[in-house]
Amino acid sequence: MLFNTIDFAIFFPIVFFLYWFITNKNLKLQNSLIVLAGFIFYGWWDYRFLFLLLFSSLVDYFVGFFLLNQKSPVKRKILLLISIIVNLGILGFFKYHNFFVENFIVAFSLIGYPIRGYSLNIILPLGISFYTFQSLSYSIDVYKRKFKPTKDLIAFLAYISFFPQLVAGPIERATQLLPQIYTKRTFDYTKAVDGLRQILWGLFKKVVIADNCAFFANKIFENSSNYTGSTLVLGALFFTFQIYGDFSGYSDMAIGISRLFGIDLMRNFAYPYFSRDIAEFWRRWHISLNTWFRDYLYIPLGGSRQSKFITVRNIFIVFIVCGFWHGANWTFIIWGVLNSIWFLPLLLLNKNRHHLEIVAHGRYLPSLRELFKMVITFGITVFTWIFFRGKNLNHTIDYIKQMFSGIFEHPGTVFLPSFWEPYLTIIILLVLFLLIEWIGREDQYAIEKLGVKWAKPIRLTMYYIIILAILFFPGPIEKFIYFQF
Amino acid sequence: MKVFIVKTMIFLSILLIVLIAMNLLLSNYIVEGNYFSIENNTYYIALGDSQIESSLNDSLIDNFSNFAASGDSYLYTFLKLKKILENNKHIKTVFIGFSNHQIHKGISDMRLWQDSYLLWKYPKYGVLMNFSDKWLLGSRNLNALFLAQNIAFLKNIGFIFSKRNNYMSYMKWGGYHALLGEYANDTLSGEHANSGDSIDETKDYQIPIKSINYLVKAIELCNKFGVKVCLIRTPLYDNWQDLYNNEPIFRRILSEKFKGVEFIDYKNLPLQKNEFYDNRHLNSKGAATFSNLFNNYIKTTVTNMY
Repeated sequence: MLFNTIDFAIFFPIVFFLYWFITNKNLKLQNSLIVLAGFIFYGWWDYRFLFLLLFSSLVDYFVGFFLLNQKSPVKRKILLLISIIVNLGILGFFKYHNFFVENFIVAFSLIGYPIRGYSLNIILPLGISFYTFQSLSYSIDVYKRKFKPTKDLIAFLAYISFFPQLVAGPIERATQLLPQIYTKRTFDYTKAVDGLRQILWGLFKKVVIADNCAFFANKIFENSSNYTGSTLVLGALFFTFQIYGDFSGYSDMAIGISRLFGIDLMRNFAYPYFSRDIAEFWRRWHISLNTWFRDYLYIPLGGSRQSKFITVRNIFIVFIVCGFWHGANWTFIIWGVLNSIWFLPLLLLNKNRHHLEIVAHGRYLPSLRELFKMVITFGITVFTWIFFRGKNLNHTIDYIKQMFSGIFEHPGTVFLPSFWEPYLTIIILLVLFLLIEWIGREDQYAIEKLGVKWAKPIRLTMYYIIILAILFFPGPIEKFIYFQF
Repeated sequence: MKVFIVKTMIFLSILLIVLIAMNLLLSNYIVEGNYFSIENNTYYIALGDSQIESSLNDSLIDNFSNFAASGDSYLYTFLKLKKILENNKHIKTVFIGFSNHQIHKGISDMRLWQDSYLLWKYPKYGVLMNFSDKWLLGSRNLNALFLAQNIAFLKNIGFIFSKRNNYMSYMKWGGYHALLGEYANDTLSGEHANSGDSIDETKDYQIPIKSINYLVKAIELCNKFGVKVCLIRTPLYDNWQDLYNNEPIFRRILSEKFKGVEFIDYKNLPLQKNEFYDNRHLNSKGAATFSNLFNNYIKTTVTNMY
């Protein structure tokens, strides 16, 4: 179920009530409620895939269980391999089977050996890329003895199936989330109010920004051959804000909801579009996934501690895998390759850790140099997102060709498509949105501290205005983009 | 915890009360206002969906107004009709489109409950709905209904501030829409071509009962207002019988539900292929031919009844 639906509006208060009023005296009962709520939440989409979630979770639970007392290095490796094979196997089958079949057929045809293969009509289980990675990180951490495995099956299932982050992250680590599951939660008023504020902002980002931008982005991308270069640029821009609003909005809601249950999730977005270079962008975008790849792929491959050649190889591998994680399409792989190309020079020149603080920290405005860097980085990101959104490689290449040829034909002119009439509203909303994000860029989320020192009536009015914007300026109902991953 | 819950409930309750009150006031203001008048010399109106919308050109038919709108379910047809008749006592005859696709359950259900239709239609007609109409829509798609209600609220505010004096034209309730092009297909393809949707005439569950009941209500309403009502099937392209494969059940519904209601069947009107936009709709050329014919029909047959 989506967070911005009536179904969730009914589900959530029931779970909240049961959590704090009925099960709060007994930790095991409370954790069982988390598991039950998670399974209902997931099963609401398709109950058949609950078995997959349960299967993946049980495999890793038992892998951890057996790793606890297993001293033999060989046997420990085998147990870890079981976890990796099962999790990646499930992911590989449901997500990548048809991709590999189709590409094998093409590859063999190219070398003169046409083969027959059959695509399967496979439903992609919701959130599979997220919960398999979360489950896998547990096994790996236990194997590396970074974390003591849990014997408490309910606690482990609660860790995997905690519903706010189950289907679209943040991808949590056992070291962060499981200790909170073991500990009795006490209601914290300040935390809960903060959680509500974060949910509100997340909803605004998703419903107002992302869904409205999606309307334009979809129209332009799906009929790209009918539009001129400047409209295609706008399409890319709208998708840039759509994906940010959608994904960071979901993360804000997930984190906010979790706080209402007394649980802290990791931050997933830190104003990535204010980045001054690509390295900073990747420290601020989908943080939970990128740190996962850093800890479980990049560093085990050797990171940047070996030769330059190995470092370059590792960067390419990580970004390509990251792209592939997003979807079974060459466009995602190219997207990953492009990002590694942008990133590599910074790494090789040791400039990848230059901008650790947020831009214009402690100041109102960025310097001209900072602004220039932000614009360039943003432009590169917008261009790269075209690959992410394109239907396939041909469509993406045609889109880019038409975009650039159109711009040069009519430089400085913007030709707007006929459906453009409501654009003024979304432009105003986008400007306001960016302004609020800029003002709040030093906080966990944009409105965390906005208005907290204002008089109560004014502060409450601000919240009412945001709610009214959500109610009256929604875009067409759109699923969360990252549900497809 | 209690403080948190109480404060949150108060915050949300204030919002809910204000929104509901504003919605009710706004709806009442519009519904009770004089915003649904048609010209006094309009005696005949037509309602229905895109088939009527594209085939009856008001400018070619005397004393006639077309209120059909693409995608209209009979729920919306009924609501529009009720408001029009209540505010325009000079209407003498109502023509309502009734064709094979309108007894196709899939199409009827889509027009009532699919997100895009709800978000499109509800803001136009929501002010006219009572609780049971809204319950019908909300029972299968509460999320979209909620969203549609918010859109309706904004549009209604827009109407008030626009200072227009006709809600029907502001909300674009319907009207003749010329289709340009000639895409009638001798070999059917796409969604309508023998899609395996053949209806077993003995199985009622495949009939969109809820939608048809609103058509029944529309006819009863006309009787109540002393207005003549006719069902009309507009011209269909030559191979119409392949479209839905449901002519026997169509006839059964006509005889069972609409006994005594005049049915004017133009399905086999000998129009040229280049007068059709597609297999179910007339283009502007076909609409001109058909409208002239319809105008004669009104003058010779309908008018003579009064």
